[in-house]
Order: sequence, then C-alpha cells, then structure tokens
Amino acid sequence: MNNKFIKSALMVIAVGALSITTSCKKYLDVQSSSTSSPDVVFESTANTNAAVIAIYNRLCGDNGYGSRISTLFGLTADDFKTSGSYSSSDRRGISMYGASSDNTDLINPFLQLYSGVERANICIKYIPASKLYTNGSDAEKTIMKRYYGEALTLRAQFLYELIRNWGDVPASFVPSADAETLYGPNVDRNKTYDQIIADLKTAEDLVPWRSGITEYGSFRYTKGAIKGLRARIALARGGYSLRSASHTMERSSDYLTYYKIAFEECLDIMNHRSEHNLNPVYENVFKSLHTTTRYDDAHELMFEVAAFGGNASTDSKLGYYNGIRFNSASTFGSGGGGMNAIPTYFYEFDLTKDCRRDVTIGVFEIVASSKKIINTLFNMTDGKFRKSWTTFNGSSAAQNFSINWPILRFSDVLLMYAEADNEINGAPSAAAVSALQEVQKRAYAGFETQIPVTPMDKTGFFNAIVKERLLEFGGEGIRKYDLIRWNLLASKFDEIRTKIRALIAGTGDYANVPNYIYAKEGNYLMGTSVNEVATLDLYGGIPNNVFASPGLNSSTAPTGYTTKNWRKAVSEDNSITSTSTGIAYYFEANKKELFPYPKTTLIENPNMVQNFGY
Amino acid sequence: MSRVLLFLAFFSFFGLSVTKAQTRQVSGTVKDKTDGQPLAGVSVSIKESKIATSTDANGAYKITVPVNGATLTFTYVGYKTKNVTVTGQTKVDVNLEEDANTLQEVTVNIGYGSVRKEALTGSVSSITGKDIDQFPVSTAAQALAGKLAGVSVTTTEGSPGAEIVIKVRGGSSLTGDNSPLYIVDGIQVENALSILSPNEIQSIDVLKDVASTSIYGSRGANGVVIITTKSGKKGRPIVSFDAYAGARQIVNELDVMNPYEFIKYQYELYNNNTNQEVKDTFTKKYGTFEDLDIYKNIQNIDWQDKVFGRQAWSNTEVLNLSGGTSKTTYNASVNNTKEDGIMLNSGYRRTFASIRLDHKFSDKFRIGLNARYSRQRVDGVGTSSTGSQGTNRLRNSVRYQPYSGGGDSGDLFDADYLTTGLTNPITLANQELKYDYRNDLISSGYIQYSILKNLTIKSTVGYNRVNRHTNTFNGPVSNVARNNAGLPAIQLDTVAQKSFINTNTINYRPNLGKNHSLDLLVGQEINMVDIDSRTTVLKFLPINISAQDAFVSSTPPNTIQDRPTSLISGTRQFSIFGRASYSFQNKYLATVNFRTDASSLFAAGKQWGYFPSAQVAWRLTEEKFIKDMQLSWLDNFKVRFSYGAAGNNRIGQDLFRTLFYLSSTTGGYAETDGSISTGLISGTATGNILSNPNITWETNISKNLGIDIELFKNKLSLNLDYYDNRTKNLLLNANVPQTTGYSTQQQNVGKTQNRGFELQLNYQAVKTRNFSYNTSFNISFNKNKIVELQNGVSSYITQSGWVNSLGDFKVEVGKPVGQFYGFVSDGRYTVDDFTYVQNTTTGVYTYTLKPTVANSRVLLGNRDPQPGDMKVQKLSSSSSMMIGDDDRTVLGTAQPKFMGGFNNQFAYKNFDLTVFLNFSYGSKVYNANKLEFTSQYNVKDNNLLAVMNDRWQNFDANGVKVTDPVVLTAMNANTTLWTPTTGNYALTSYAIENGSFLRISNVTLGYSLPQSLIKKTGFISKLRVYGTVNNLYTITGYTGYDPEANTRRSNPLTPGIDYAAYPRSRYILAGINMVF
Repeated sequence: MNNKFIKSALMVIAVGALSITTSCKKYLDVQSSSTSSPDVVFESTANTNAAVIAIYNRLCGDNGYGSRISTLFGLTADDFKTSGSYSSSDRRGISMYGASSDNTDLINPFLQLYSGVERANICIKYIPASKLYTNGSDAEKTIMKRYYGEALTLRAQFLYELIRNWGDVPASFVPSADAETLYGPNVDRNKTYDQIIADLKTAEDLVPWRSGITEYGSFRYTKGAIKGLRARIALARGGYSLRSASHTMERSSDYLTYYKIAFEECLDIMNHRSEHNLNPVYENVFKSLHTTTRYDDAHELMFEVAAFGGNASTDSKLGYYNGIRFNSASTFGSGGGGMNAIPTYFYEFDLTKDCRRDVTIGVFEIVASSKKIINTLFNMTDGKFRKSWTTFNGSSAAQNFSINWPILRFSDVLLMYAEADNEINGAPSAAAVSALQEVQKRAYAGFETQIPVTPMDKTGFFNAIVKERLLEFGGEGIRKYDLIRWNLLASKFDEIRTKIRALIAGTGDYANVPNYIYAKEGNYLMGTSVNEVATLDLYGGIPNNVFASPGLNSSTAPTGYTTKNWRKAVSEDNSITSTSTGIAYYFEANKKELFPYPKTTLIENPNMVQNFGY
Repeated sequence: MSRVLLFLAFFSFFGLSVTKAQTRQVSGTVKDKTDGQPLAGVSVSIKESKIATSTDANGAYKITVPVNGATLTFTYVGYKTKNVTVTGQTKVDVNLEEDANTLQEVTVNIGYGSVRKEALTGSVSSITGKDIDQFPVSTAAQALAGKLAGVSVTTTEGSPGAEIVIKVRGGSSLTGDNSPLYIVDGIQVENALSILSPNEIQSIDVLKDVASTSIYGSRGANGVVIITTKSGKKGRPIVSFDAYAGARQIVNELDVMNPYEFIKYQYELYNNNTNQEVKDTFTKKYGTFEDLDIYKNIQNIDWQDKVFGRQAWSNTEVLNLSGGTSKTTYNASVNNTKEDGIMLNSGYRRTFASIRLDHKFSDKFRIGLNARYSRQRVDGVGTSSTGSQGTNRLRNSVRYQPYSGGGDSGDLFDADYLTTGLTNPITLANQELKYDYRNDLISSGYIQYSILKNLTIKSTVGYNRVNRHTNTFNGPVSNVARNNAGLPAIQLDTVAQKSFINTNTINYRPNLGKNHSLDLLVGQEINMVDIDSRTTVLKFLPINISAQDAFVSSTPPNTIQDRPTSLISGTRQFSIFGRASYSFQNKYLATVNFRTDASSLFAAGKQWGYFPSAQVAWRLTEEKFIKDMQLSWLDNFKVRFSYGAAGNNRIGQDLFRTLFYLSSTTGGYAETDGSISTGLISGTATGNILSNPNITWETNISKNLGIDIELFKNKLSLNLDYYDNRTKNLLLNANVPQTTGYSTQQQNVGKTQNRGFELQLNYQAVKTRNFSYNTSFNISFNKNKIVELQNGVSSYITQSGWVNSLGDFKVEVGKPVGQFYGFVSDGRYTVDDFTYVQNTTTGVYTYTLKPTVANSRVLLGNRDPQPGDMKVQKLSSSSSMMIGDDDRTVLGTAQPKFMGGFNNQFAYKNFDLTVFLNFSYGSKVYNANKLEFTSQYNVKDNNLLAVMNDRWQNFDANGVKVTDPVVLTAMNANTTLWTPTTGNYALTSYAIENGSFLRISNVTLGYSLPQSLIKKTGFISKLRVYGTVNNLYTITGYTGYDPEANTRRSNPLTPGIDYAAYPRSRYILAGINMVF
C-alpha cells in the first residue's frame, strides 16, 4: 500500500511538473513594463519618431551643444578664448591647448557623442528592417525613410564632431550589440569621412526640403541642412588635419574631389532660395535662437540644436555661461562672461560700417543697477547670446534659458561655395564673388556700396574668405576648425601675438587706439546691438570715434566718468606670456590641434592609442 | 532545537487518559545539580502512564500521582534523565545532572529540513539566540561579527543603518552581490539580518560549503544563512522585557592644521609663482604677512567635532510574550529602537512587531503562521556617496577653514564656491536632509501533513512586501542646489517591492532496518518578485523653504521641471530539487543533492542551471576498533568531504536584450521652441547598459574537507575545514569602452578561486558552581585569486571612481581581486635634483630638473618639478625619465592573510562578563581621504591634514620666498613631506597603509539579581542588569578613521578604499533583562 501511495504521489508530481514546464516558458518571460522591445518600437511611426528624438537628444544638454561642445571645444581661435586662469583639468585647459587626458570637460561630451552614434546605429539597423519601411502604406514608407535619413545624418554629425576634435576615432556603423568587438581600435579618419559623406548622400534623398515638412523648422535635419553638413564635412575631408602617422598637418592629394562635393551641395542649396536664404538683418538670426518668436523668415538658420526643459540634459547653458555679462543683482539676473574676445578681434571689424561687431562682441556689460557700461578691452565677451533676449529675468532662478545653438547658417553655405569655387577654378568665378559680397553687403547694412574690394586672384580671394569667415562666424564655434582645415592655426596665433604687441605698444594699425576710455553707466535700451554700442556714454562722444582716438591718455577720469582700461588692459603678461591666461599659451603646432583622448577611455579600451603629443 | 525535542516529548503524552479517582498531589522543584539554578520546562511524567506536566519558570512542578505511589521520570534536554520513586512524600525536589552526551542532540538546519548535528555531512556554522542575546546591538548582523569561522561581517561605515556586508568564504563573485542567501523560517528574505530583531532569533545556521548550499541551487553560491525565529513553548505565558540605552561617540578624528598653520599654507598658495592680482587677493582676504600673527590667537574651530562630535544617544526596548498549550504555541514580540547618529541630523528609528503561531490539529496535520512587520526610518545623508569627490561631504568637515568665518553660512566665507569647492559643514549638514522610511511586511505560513508516519508533505507560502519612501532635501548651499540656481530641491523616491514564494516538499524516510537510514526529499519552488520604483524631483523651490514644507510643496510656478521617472520590473524563478541522505550504522554518511533552476533573467535557452552535489562523512568514533580502544577523552571524530556546484544569477532584469525606455531628459528633445518630445532610449531595462544575449548562470564548484572533533567529555570542540571554491562564468557588470555608447555590459567572464582554512574552537574551560569560563576562537585564512579573465586578457586597469579618471586598481590573472595600483612614493625633490642658475639682476634662482632624475610632472598638474615637489620612483625601463603610466605598480591588496574572533564568557556567582575581540591581519587599506586631504588639487582656501605642516618650506620667517639653494636646503632640514600637489590626484604608496587590527569590539558586564531577592517581588523570575562597550578600542597602525572602511562597494573589483566614510563610533550602554 505504501508503495502504491508513493507511486501515485510521484505521478501527481510528474504530471504537475510537466504542466508547469509547458507554461514555464511563459512564466519565465518577464519584461519590464517600463520598456518596449525593438519590434514594438520600429513597427510604429510614432515610436520610431521617439527613437529618432532620442538620437537628437545627444546633441543638447551640458555635454552636447548646450554648453561644452559649443562653448569650450571651439576655443581658442582668433575670435574668442575662455575666461579665467589655466588648469589642465578643466575648461581653461582646453582653451589654452593644455588639456590633460583627465580633463573633466572632455570626458562627458566624448561619451555623449558616442552614445549618439550608438542610438543612431540602432535606428539605422532597425528602421530599414521594419515591416513598415518595406510594406507599410506609402505615407508610412515616406515617414520611415525620412527617419532613416535623419538617423544617418545625425550619426554623421556625431562622428564629424569626434573626428575634428580627436582625429582617428574608433567608429562603428552597427549597434554595439552586433559589433564584432567592443574594443574597436582607432580608425583612419578618411575612411570614416568617406562613409559618412556617402551616408549623407543617401540621407539627403530621403529627407524633404524644409518646406516639405514645416513642422521640423530648423530643429530637425531637412534636405538643405543635410546638404550643408555634407559640404562642411567634405571641406574637412579635403582640408588639413593632424595626422597620427606623420605627426604633421596634412591634407590628401585628392582634396579637390571633396571641394567639388562641397561646391555641388552648396550650389544646390543656393538654387533653392525659397527654402533657405540670407536673413536681411544679421542680428535677427541670433535673436531667433533665444525665444519662441522667430525673426528668420528667410530660414537662414538651417539647423540649430534646440534647447528646452530647464535641465542639464535637454536644455542649454548658452547665455548663462557665455554671452554678454549680466550682474546677478540686475533685473536680468545672472548671465554670461565665460568667453572673452581676443582684444584685437574688436579691431578686425570695420569700425563704423560692419554691423556684425556689436552683435558678435559683448562690448558692454550690465551692472547691478541694470545699466550698461563699456567693458575693458581685455574682458569683452561674446555677444550673440544675451540673457536680455530671452524671457528669463532676475526673478527667474533658472540657469537654462532655452537658447538654441546654431549649427548651420545659409551664410556658411554662401562662403563655402565661394571658397570651393575659388579652389576648384584657381580663381573666383563671378558666382563666387557674388556669394562673398552677398554676405558682406548684409553685414554692411546701410553701407552696402562700401564693402571691401574683392580680390580676383586665387590667394587674394582665399584670404578674403578667411577674413570674412572670421567676421561672420565669431563665437559660433566654427573658426578654430576653419583654421585647422586651412592649416592656419599656428600662423594665426603668431599673427595675433604680433598684433597684440602692436596694440600694447600703440603702433601700426593701433596707433590711435586709446589707452583709457572714460565711461558712465547708461540706460540699457534693449534696442539693436549697433545702437546699443552707439549710445554708450563715453567721454569724448561717439563711441566709434572714441575707439579710434588717443583721448586724454590719463588714468584719471574726467569728473563723473569712470576710467576703463582699454589698450592699457592688455599686457604682454596677461595676453601672451602668462602661464595662466596667455592666449593659446600651451599650443604647439603639429601637436595640439587635436584633444587628448579621455584617460578613462584608454584605460577601458587598450586597443586605442593616445593622440600624439599627450 | 531543544524546543523541538520538548515538543516531541509532549507528543508522546498526547491524548492520554485523564485523572483517575484515587490520586494525590506531589510538588517540588527541579534544579541544576552544578549551579543550583532552577530549570524551567523540565518534563515530569509518571512512568508507564500518560500523566505528565512540566516545571514552570521557577523550576516548580505539581503532579497528580496515584495514592499507591509511582515512579516520576524527569527528562530535560541536555540533562540525564532521572527516575524517582514516590511512595509517601508530597514534596520531591530533584537535581538534574547535565549530560555531555545528550547535549549534542542538537539539530542543524540544512535547508528544507534538519539533521542531528552528528549526522551532518556538510560544513555548517551555527550560532544560537543565546550567543546573540549577550550582545546588545541593533542588528543581528553586528552580533555575528567575528563569531563564525569563514563568515566575515563588516559594517562598511559608522552611519546609522549603514550597510553590513556579510561574506561567506571571501565571496565568489567578482561583481555584483556577494551576500549570502537568507532563509527565514523557510522563506527567502533579502537582507534578513538587518530587518530582524536580534531578540527574535532562535538560531542561525550558515551553510558554507557549496555541496550544502546547492540544495538552494541558484543564489546558494555565496553561502546560505538559515535563520529560525523563536516560537512559543507550551506553558504559562512568559513575558520578558529587555531595555538598554547608551551613547555613541566618535572614536578618533583626523588632525588638521590650526588657524595659523592654515594661514601660512594659504600664504604660500597665494604667493608662490603667482601674479600680483592673486597676491592682492590674499591680502584682501587674510591680511598682510605682518598681520598673520593674529591667527595664532584666533579661536580654533574643530569642524569634525562640530559635525560628528555629539553624544549620540540611543535606546532600545523589547517586549516579548510567549507561551502556548499542547496544541498551540505562540511567540510575539515588539521592539523599539531609537538611535541618534554622531553626525548632525542623522539617526535611526525602528519599530518591529512579530508574531509566530504554530498549531497542531492532530499528529498528522499542523500549520504555522509567521508575520513580522518592521517600520524604520533612517535620517541623514551620510558622508559618502557613490559619486566622485565633488559629492563627498566629509571633506567639508576636514578642509573648511579652521576658524569662524562669520556665522555658519557657507556663502559668507566663500561667495565663490567654485574656488574652494567647500561649504561650511554645519550649514551643509543642516541643509542636506534625508529621511528614509521603510516598511517591511514579512509573512509566511506552512501546512504540513503526514500521510504516513514517515511520509510528510509540506507546503510553505511566503509573501513579503517592502514599501520604502526616501525624501531628500537639498538646501541652497548643497551641491544639488548649486547646479539649480542655488535654490532648494527635493527628491522623493518610492519603491514598492512584492515577493511571493511557494515551496512544496515531500519527505520520505523509509524504514530500512536498524543499520540503514535513508531520508528522501523532493520539492519544487517558485519565486516571483515585482518591483515598482518611482522618483520625483522638484527644483527651484523658494529659497527659505523648510524641508518639511518642501516635501509637501507643489511645483513652483514658471519653472520647468524634470518629469517623474518610474521603473517597473520583475523576476521569476522556477526550481525543482531533491535530496537523499543515507547513513549506515551512523558511521558512514552520504548525502546527494540535486537542484535545477530556471531564471527569467536570462534569454530562452540560457535559463536553466543545474546544480548537483554530494557529501560523505565518516564517524571514526563509531567504529568498533576505536570504541575498543576506549579513549575516554575522545567523544567524537568525524571526517567530511563534499563536492558540488551552485549558481548565481544576481543581476538586473532584461540585461540580455536591447529594449527601449521612455525618457524626457536623457532621451527628450525640443522639436519646437516651447516643449520637449519624449524620446525612446535604447539600452536595457535598467539603464544605459549594453545588452548581452549570451549571459547565463555563474557557477561555483567547490570542494570541502572537514574534521569535527569533540574531546574531554565534549568540553572542547574543534572544527577544521579546508575548501577550494572555483567560480566560472563570472557574472561581471564589466566596463566596456565608452566608444560603444555605453559604460557597462553584463558579461560571463573569467574564473576566480577562493581557497582557505577555517578553524573553530570552543572550550568550556571551567564550570563549577560559582565560576564558569567559556571561550571560543575562530580563525580563517582565505586566498582569493583570479584564474582567468575575459578573452585571454591577462590584466586590466579599473577605476574605483572616487575621483574621475584615476585608474587605481589592477585586475590581474593569478592575483587576488582588489590590487591597488599606483606609483611608489619616493619622497620629494631636493635641491640636489636640480641644476640652477641665478638671475644676476633679481638674484632669483631658477631650477631645472637634472635629466637623470625621474620627472613626475604628470602628478604635479603638468608643470615642471621644483624643489620640494612630490617625487615617485621610476620603475619602467623606458629611456625617458618622464614618469608615466608605465611607472605604476601593484601597491598591495585589501585581502587579509587571516581574520577571526576570540570570545570569552565568564560567570562568577551572579556576575557575567563577556569580552569579545576580533582581528584581521595582513590587509592593506587605500586611504583615499589622506590623498585628498594632503593635496592642494586646484583649489585654494582648503585646509590640510596636520601632517602637512611637515611639508617643504619655500618661504622664510618673514614671508619672503627663498630660492637660494643653500638657504632652502637648510630651511628644510627638518621637514620630510612634499609640497601639496596640484592637479588631479594620483595614487601613490603614501596612501596605502597597513590595515591589520585587533579590536576589542564588545565588553559586557552583567549582574543577575539573586533568586532569593527576586522571589520577593512575586512576579519577576529573572532580572539582569548590564553595561556594555561596543568598539571599545582598536589596536591598529592605520591613520584614518577606521581600517575596516570600504566605501566603493558598487564595484567589487575595488575593495578596501577608505573614502569619505562616516566615522565609526564607540558605543557605551547599559541595559536590563527581565523575565516575568
């Protein structure tokens, strides 16, 4: 009986166990309900859009173009430098070309860019493989293709940013989960460039022009911006860069091939003026970045990194970190001051006719009484970002003002076109000349007929482009990379030092620059930038005249005025020889054109090699 | 255990015939023969009848006997049974004698059942409630420290409610969790030792060898701790009350510079190679050099004392009620603890209530219920965090200027927080507040039915629920607020966790005759856990808001807030297991276990893990030839051997697949100028982790050879174990190159090995009527080694993360886990290391390092060395004298050579004294505090440890910088240390210290009031008062707060770092035990 009982008991268990194992598979498949699997995400256009949004997310925030990449990486060039004293491990180390491999401001952006590449790679894998992409309705197919194109473009944008800062960076074009190795070695940048230039070709055919998808505005990539990005990357591919093998700045012999790509792309954009054109008012381009009110009907802003959300991940610190300085006690609240103009940059602009100077350079600051007063020549800031242009004021506690970062403007397309044309043809064509002059005429608003004479030889025209891009894009994180691709970075630093010494001595071009300016606080009118500078209360009358006349040359101010060191603020020590503030003090040609890889990365990936020079 | 036997004793008299007509009463008292103490619960029965009773708490009994007399049998566990013939007496007092042989009739819980201790085939360490009772500590885990060979218990920091890390045999897993599995009354409970009241624990059995743990299959790899809670005993209700109260105080502080020393150091910082602007800043802030003498008289403020110096009072009360009838027994207890932490605004409050009921419907059918509710609140943010040095709070108490700078506001002293990175520690302690509320319901029940006498089925169901709310307030000077416009912010976290466990077993013990015994067990188990966690952050609150108002406030107008986040997750496990235990003549013992688990944490095809094991034992003392030798001193000699496998799957959910989760911040993007579109981020469910479809079970294979010996009438017992554990397919949350877009990936990589010896000795040295002395000693030697790493990698560098970008640990094949990796300190540069030239106009010397001398500029913030700068040894063979990463070497490991405990219990008349020491030898500690607090980094106005007064001097008594080589050398003839380094921190051998210690961790002196006195009260049956000092004194060469600190625990590859640990305190208390 015992045995019988045991047998039946065991039977019960066996049957029970069997039925359990069949339902076991289901029982053991638990997925967190906070997550979705790829087949859910990429079989819905709404979810696919959300996945693409998450790629865009890697552009913004403190570690993207919201702060570090935009306001630290592009410095120093002959436009701006970072304020403050040198430390190898923070932002000033980057600006003085003496960043160490443990620089905390390099690590996180580096990581964020790669996480962008990965997010893009995942979309690039799954979107074309989805049923919607191949078998969906025509409308669905169109949308999915567009998302695919955007993902390709964003990947190119991230990789381009990585390459121009670090050189032969590892590059993977498949999701990391599918990658052969996680320990990817450095990859020849030419190879990566060629891939992304080809990808962008694919992408520009998948994404419509701006007018075809108006809800994108300039916050997401449309055809024109993709073409512009392709032109920009092509020029970088065809330009100089610091080569790991030879330890010198070199460009490949077939560079003209890439100038031709840039030329074609720019031309195509220029042939679609209804999509993108120059904004007649230079200042309005930047004002449009600041609020929900847009002043850019011409859509000169072709792609900008949108900022919103009041947090470190999706917003920006533009205007809080950089831009015109606002005293925290003023009605505007705290803002600006992280970037300083190179003293001589001020005098690169035509003193009276070029409206861009007063937009680009923060000539004045806003003091505690909310009034404006002129800065010294040594601590002028960048001016394209102004807290006063936002809706945030002193009663708001935010550090994030939702100011967008401009990645690509139509004026860049015109100047890239002109540059490529000149290079390809050996001299500027009429179209190239006209493109350059178009940019200049907008800058010389009211003085259109007095723009500089355009040189018609290749070198002269090239030099005019070099100069024009300095004036047009100051503070937009473009200049340093231009100088690198032209291999002019070292010589421009020499040139700046020469100019600064002349400025200090008050010789040559700077013979009439005053040592001191005497200023009073004046009302901040919140008008146009040009008028704001023109109404600065300076002893001696019209500011543009004061800037160019020796004045009293005394440190004692006339009654009622405060002395502002002008030329006097600049010294050999603080601008050239100081180890803590000297401009690009630690720069070494053929060495420091690239950043050091973050140490953490090298610790984790033994297959990567540190850049030469670190 | 004795309870079980008692139970059985009652059984045998169950359903007896009731009183006959001609009877009379006999009464008396039963006492211990040796010490004369009354014995409660002694069974008194009439031979050859079914009449029985038991003694009460005073040892008294009453029994009805037939008029014509009878024989009374007195039985009591651990004592020799005594028969007394009653003829005419009405009063029969009896003295029982302890029986050394029956004492070991102890059962040991081996998982889903128990065995008599002598039949044990595995390696199990046990501790009873009695051992724990002696130690008035707030958690049972603390009472365990040092008690069991091979079980290391370390409290990671001194903060209230600090994590207690328990490791069995060194822990097998490289990453993740090395904590053992806790089974409370048959139900798995996370972190049980922190949740249970020490007073409700009946016994703790720790299964150490894998063959023993493998019945638990997965999760058993790191040892299994089986906890049995107290149940009631039949008899009148027994009420007991325990209370104790005392105060904690910081044991030692770090010596820092006094105001004058601080100022002199600042003077140096502001004047050495700086421009006029910086020099002027010093004068503005601190005065001219001539004025600095006033700092000699300024009131010194000891910030560590201000923040950690308070007397932290605590008190605990425990009320227990137990009792029962022959059918139902119960045990209920309430425990209340209130404890202040030594740090301002920190403390701990806990209330437990538990009830256990056991009921017997019949001989065949019984049920039990067990419910426990715990409510606790931990206050305080503590000092450490998992972030890097910017989030460390301890530094404020150490580095803040050592004198009053105008009130307690951090901002008055340092308007520009960025230049010092410091906040007034008191202000900060009052502005960073954290309240962690936790409610645990742990409940279980079982039904047991014996179909036949030897065939029992049992079903156990457990349901646990944890609700946790953590409210964190960050006031205006906190790090969080500084990143949010200097306005207060709060974070509200809630976690709700449910777990459900069902175990069904069948136990069959066939009758195979006298020589053979067989015990068979088969079972099945399911385990389901669901977690729902949510986080809400509210920023930009009004600047003066109080924490309490902030926690209930609504979103401030015109602000953009982060969206709340939530994560819902769950795991499922299904298991089948079986065990066969066989013994032949009690001489040869063998046990075979098998378990298979399926886990939802792995992909289909990788879900099942199989864990078999076998154990054999041989009891030599049962052999005839040994018995024949008549060795009266040898009571027991057993040899055990086991071999088996166990698994580990303690990883997060869904790590094997790529999933997408919604996020408005890390995935969101503004598609227009005025809103955010939420994005879907790819990764795994638990965050930005690269998926790995191939992950599967980690397996631990272990061998164990053990000897158990009892000698001299069981006065001396000795257990010796040797083990060799090898773990393969280690589950490692490995760092992956960031170029993948992720920072980690869960991987099965490599193999580790733990080998070791354990020795446990118990000796009852003296036992007389008035004096007794028991001592126990244990020592463990464990050697940990990495046998293999991923893909043939022989070594790699990893980061502890206390400071960014510092690769300070080397993971290397053939070496133990936790090798500190850095430079070997070589003192400092002296004038002789340089060539120098004098500027003829200024008279200033400039120094250039000789090309033959190692150049440590990389440690100096990338500047060229000057006399007095820190120097490290050049170790690489490269021709360049520039110090680089190649010049680093292994500086030591956190692994001790041996560790253990030494317990001494004395009793003299009514006094009892316990002295417990624990020790650890041969480990090294990585004193990251010292690294930080002796470096300048790139901040000014920070204080340093007082040892830095011994630094290289560059300025003479008049504050003038000296560059003359002769004068400079003379000035530094009596200093030994270097100029505090600028630039990022680097690990040098200076920070590696000997971590050996001998700690007098507990001394308790108690006094029990004499029974004669107590009896007068009429209701108290036992009353003991005692005083205790916990953490009395530590003998160690370590210069930090505590050599046991371990604050970078999230990565098990980086143990042994003392960084910003909450200082440990000494605890002096007094208490009372009362039984009514």
